[in-house]
Amino acid sequence: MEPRKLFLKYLLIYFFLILGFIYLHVINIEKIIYPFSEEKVESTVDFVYQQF
Amino acid sequence: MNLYAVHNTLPFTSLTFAMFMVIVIALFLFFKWMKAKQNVYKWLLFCFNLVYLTVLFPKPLQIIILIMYLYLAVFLLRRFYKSENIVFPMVILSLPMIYMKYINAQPVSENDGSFLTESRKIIQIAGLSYMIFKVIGLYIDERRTTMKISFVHFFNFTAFVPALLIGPIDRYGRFREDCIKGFENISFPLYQKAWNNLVLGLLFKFIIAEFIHRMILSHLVNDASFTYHVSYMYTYLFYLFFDFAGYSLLAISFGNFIGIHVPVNFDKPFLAVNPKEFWKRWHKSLGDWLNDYFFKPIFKFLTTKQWFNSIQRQSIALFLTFTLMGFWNGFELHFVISGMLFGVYSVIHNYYQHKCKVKGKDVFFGSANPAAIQYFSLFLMINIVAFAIYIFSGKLF
Amino acid sequence: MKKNDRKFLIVHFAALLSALFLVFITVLFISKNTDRIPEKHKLVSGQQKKWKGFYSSLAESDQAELDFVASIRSKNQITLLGSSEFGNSPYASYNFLPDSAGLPTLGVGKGFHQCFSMFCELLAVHEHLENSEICIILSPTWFHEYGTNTESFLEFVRPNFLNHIAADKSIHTKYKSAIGEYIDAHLDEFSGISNSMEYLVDKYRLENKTEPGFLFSALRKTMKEIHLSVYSVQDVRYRIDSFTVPLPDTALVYSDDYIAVLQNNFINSVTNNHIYVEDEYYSEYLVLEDGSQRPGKIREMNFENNREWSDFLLLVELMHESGANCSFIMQPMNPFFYSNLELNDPLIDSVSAVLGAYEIPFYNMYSSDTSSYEPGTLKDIMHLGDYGWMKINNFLIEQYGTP
Repeated sequence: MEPRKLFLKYLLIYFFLILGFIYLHVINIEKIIYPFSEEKVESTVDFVYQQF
Repeated sequence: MNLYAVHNTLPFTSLTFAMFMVIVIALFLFFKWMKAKQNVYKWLLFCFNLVYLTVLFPKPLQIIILIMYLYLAVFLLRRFYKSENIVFPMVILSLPMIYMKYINAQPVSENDGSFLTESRKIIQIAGLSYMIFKVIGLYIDERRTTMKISFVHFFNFTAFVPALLIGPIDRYGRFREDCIKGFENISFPLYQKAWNNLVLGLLFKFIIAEFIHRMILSHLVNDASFTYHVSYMYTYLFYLFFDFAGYSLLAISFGNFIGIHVPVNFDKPFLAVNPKEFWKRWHKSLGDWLNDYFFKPIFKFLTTKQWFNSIQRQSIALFLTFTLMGFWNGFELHFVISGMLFGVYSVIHNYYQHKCKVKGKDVFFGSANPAAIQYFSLFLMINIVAFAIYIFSGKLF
Repeated sequence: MKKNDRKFLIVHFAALLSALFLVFITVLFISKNTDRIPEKHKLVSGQQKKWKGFYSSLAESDQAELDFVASIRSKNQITLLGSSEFGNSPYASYNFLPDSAGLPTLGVGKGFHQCFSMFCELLAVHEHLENSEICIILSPTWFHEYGTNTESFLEFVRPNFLNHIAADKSIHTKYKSAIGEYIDAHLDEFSGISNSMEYLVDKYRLENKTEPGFLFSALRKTMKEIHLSVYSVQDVRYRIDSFTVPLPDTALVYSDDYIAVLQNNFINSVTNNHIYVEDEYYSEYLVLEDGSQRPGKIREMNFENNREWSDFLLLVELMHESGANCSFIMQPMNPFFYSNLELNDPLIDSVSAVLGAYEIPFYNMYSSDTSSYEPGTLKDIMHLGDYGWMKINNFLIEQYGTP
């Protein structure tokens, strides 16, 4: 592939990679799209109380 | 992200794994720089695979016992089983997988200490299906050779970490050659390929697939309407592609970084114009494996028995191959039906191709514009694949 | 270097730099276009409805949260924090004291409600803790390495509480950091992470620069500062219509003879064992398949890397600094069942020493041998019986019975 096409290809890849990392993994993009929706957090572990 | 997730670190799921791979790559590079002997490569690879399995993999004991069982089975089969019939060896080697698929299809019960519950803890090993397929391929390829299969090469092949979980499904002969070439393979051109695969794989799996899942799939409201099903169907197709293809690219990338030419698994599958081409582009390593170890032996068997005519034999072999593929995914109905549907697609296309050859013309499109035919074929392929994969997802039933 | 190799490096380097520049522009553009101003704080309003009884969890209802806050605010109402001993016994303090001693008492707790949850709940209302009547019932069974589990944390440390803790600048960083550390250590056990939880985790990591994830938190904090209005943690204020809690007459403790009746009734009701455990409990939990009694042994407690112990110290520090009118009770375990309760002696002595140093009233009901244990204090091997509750009631009357 000629250098210019290669440059554009990897420009796009790096751009979306970095932007996606910031908005998906660093800050949650859902908070931008749905800013005031309720945040429901639950425990992923079910702790069973032992009577003894 | 919990950086200290020991014994619960599947490949490409956490920073822990990434850090582990960086250390491994650095070690290989160091040994290459030190001009280590070729023989050292396989032992270094063995250590890397073993350390991962024993320290990071969720069920270390179970997977090592499985590998030993498979090695012993291959050894005994090569030594004592002389028949041309490959069904029996395939069944012997598949026993752990068959049992696991059976267990997976049973309803999950409380931690009641039952045999089923305890079996689940033992046999549900991530990557088991892929490992079994690799070993079956190894046995069939090597059954007539007299070359000894060393445990080190066998272990490296079956437990190769980057491809452990969901492939690509490699071939023993090719892999072994890479191991023998060893440090010679590690070069800047291969590193360039590795880097290209790495950035693309990260983009596919952790950005695009993640975006589709979190922003679209998770927010689709299941009101059982036609719109919901159609939306979910197409979205899931693209999610699965980016997630699976991304994972494959990462596996290829890390393999390349340590000198192994892991086979390509996805090659622009949405450009496929027919089912045959689709399986050369989507999950290519599985398509090739099914072709070599299911389709060809079934077709050969039917030909030997002189059952049916040639086109019928091809169609039966195709349908059975894809049905078996469905069972390989799982014993649940949605996996089997999905496999059968891919089989039906391939059979229809096979008949179509046969008719075109016999009549000397395109029996469906006639003399339509070739470009229009191509676009229509692309459109049709994406839709029928989306439907089959939607069934595969288990959302429909 | 070969031509192809040079081409590779140049192309990728140039693409990466250009991408970084484009990302910078895009982030600025997005942040400018998401500039919604959130309201300064969220107002939670309602009416206080409970001055007796208990809530097993603050996640039960919005009213539970309101009543908890109202109870802390009221200087004439006792807030009793406990765990699995809470039930429907008429002698449980939150049932007995309001009607029989004129002392309004609200109980909060169930199994797994331990020091860290209590610390967070109380921190969330820190501005009302001064002179608030708070009693915490401890159990020796809590003190192990794991500490408070995440399910319990989420049941008691409600989103409004976390928001207030994150947003309130008057809360000391050491407390915010402690909560951030807990969340960070248990990230895998949460299905997601809210804005306030993220804020507290970042606070902790940025205070402790050697922690892994420090760089990630630094990047996240920077990104949040760029998208400020979307990521601000909204503070929470409560406007609660409290009813006038009646001032108690000077309550009198109940005599030993009075409460001895409860003890005798219990002892006489036990017919299938000699360890002073309710018949039903004994046959359900303590009898093995072969008919023998389950052995009763406790593990030795280790103070090092013991989360619950650290959480307890944090809780006591908060109580002391806030000026709360607080007291602690240590429940016993049944020495007729357990054969090695002396292993807990260092724990009990340490708890006593810590509370003594802060001059916090402490009622120690624990005894490691059968001679000093009063049968009937517990109704089984570790849960309070009616007799035990009356002893606690007397303690609470002594502490809070005189207005």
